[in-house]
Amino acid sequence: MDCRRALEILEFSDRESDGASADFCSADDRAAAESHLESCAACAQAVRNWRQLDRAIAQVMRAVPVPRGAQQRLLARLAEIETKPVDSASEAVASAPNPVSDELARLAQSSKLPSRRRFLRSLVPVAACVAVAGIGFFSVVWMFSPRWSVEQVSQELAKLDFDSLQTLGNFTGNGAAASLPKEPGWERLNWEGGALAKGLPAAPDVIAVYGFDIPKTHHHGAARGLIAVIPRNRIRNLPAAGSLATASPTSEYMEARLGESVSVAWQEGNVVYVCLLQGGADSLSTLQGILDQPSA
Amino acid sequence: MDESRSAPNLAELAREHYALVYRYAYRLSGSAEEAEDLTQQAFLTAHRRLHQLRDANSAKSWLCAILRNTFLTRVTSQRSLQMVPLHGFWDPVQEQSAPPSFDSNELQQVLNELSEEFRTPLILYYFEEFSYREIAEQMAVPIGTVMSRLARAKTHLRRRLEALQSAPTR
Repeated sequence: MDCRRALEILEFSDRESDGASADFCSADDRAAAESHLESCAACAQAVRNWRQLDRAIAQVMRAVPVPRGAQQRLLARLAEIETKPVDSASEAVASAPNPVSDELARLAQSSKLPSRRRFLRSLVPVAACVAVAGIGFFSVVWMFSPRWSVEQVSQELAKLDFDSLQTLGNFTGNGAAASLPKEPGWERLNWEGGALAKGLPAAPDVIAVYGFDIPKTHHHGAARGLIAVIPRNRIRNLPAAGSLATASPTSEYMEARLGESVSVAWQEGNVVYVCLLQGGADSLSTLQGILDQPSA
Repeated sequence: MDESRSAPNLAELAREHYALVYRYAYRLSGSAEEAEDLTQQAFLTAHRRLHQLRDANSAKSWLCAILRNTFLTRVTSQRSLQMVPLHGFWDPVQEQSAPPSFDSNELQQVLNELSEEFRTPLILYYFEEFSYREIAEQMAVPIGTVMSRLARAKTHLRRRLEALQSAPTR
C-alpha cells in the first residue's frame, strides 16, 4: 500500500464508530494501512503530528467563554413567551361544551347519509388497497432497479480506453435519457464519433457516454474527456450543482483512484451528468473556460 | 398544570445545551454578539418546533441543526462570507513539529477563511465529536460529501495553523 492511500484510509477511519467509511475502505484496508505505518517512518510521523494537532484543535475549538447572564436572558425570554399563548381564558373556552361541534360530531356519526355518499365511502377501502398495491409494486420495481453512485460512474468511465471509444456498442436506452447538456457551448465541442451516444459497458441501456477532444489553441488549452448521461432516478447521491460551471470535483477520494483524471457531476432536468476529464483539476477550469467562450 | 406542555422541556434543553449551542454559534459566526443573538433565535425556533423532537437523546443534534439553519438564513441575506481556495488535501510527509501552540482567536481566524460548507463539518467534528453520519444528517448531504469536505477543510486548517506557528511574529 502506498503512503497516500494509507494516510487516506487512516484519516477517514481514525475516529469512526458508525461504519460510515465502509464504502471507501474495508477492514483489510485499514489493517494494511496500520501495518504500513510500522514500515514507513515518514507516514508514522505524519500521523503522530496530525493526531497531536487534532487534539490541540479540538481543545482550543471548545475554549469559547459563554457571556455571563446570556443563558438567564434566554430562559427569561422563553418563560415570557410561554406565559403568553396559554391563558386561563383560552383553556376555559377549550374545555367548555360546544353545542355546534357536538352537533357536527353527531352528524358525522349518523348512518343516515345520502346513498351516493355511502357508495363513495364504501369505495375508500378499495381505493386505499389499490393505492397501497400500486405503491408496493413501484417500490419493488424501484428497489430492484440497479442504481449507481456518482463515484461508481466515475470509476466506470475511468476504465474506458478513450481511444477505443468507437468500439463500444451504441447506447440502447431511451434517447431522451442521452441528451447533451443544454448549456451553450457543449454543442460546439469536438465530439469523438460525432456526438453519437455509446453505451457504458456496465449499463449500455441506461448510461450513455460521449467523448470529446478539444485541441489546444492560442485561446485555450486542450481538454479531453468523457461525459456520461444517467437518468436522475438511477443515481444514488444526486450532485448539488446544476451545471458544469458550478460543479466542483466530485470527491477527493476519487482523485487517487482516477489517476490523472478529475471527475465532476451535476444534474440538469431529469438527468445527471458525470464528466471525467483527463489532466486533473486544471483541465476542469480549461473546459469551463472553453464553454464560457462565445465560440469554441 | 399539564406536564406535557413544552415550556419545562425547552427550558431544560436550554439549561443543558445553551453553552454548546452558543459555542457552536460563536465558531460559525466568529462574533460573540452574533453568537448570542443566533443562539437565542435558535432556541426560539426550537420552541415553535418542539413537537418535532421525538427523541430527547437527539436534542443536541437537533439544536445544532436549527442553529445552523438560523445562521445560514442570516448569512444568505448578508452574503459576506469570504472563501479561500482549498487545494488537494494529502500531505503524505510532514516534518516533525513542536507541540501545537495557537489560541482561540487564531483558530477562529482560520475558520473564518473557510466557506460555511467546509467550516460547519469541521466545527462539528472537532467540537462535539459528531460522527460522519451525524454531520451528514445535520447538513443534509451524503456521508461521502461530508468526508470529502472534512478532509479538505482539515488539511487547510492544519496547514494554516502550522503556518501561524512558524510565523516570525510568534
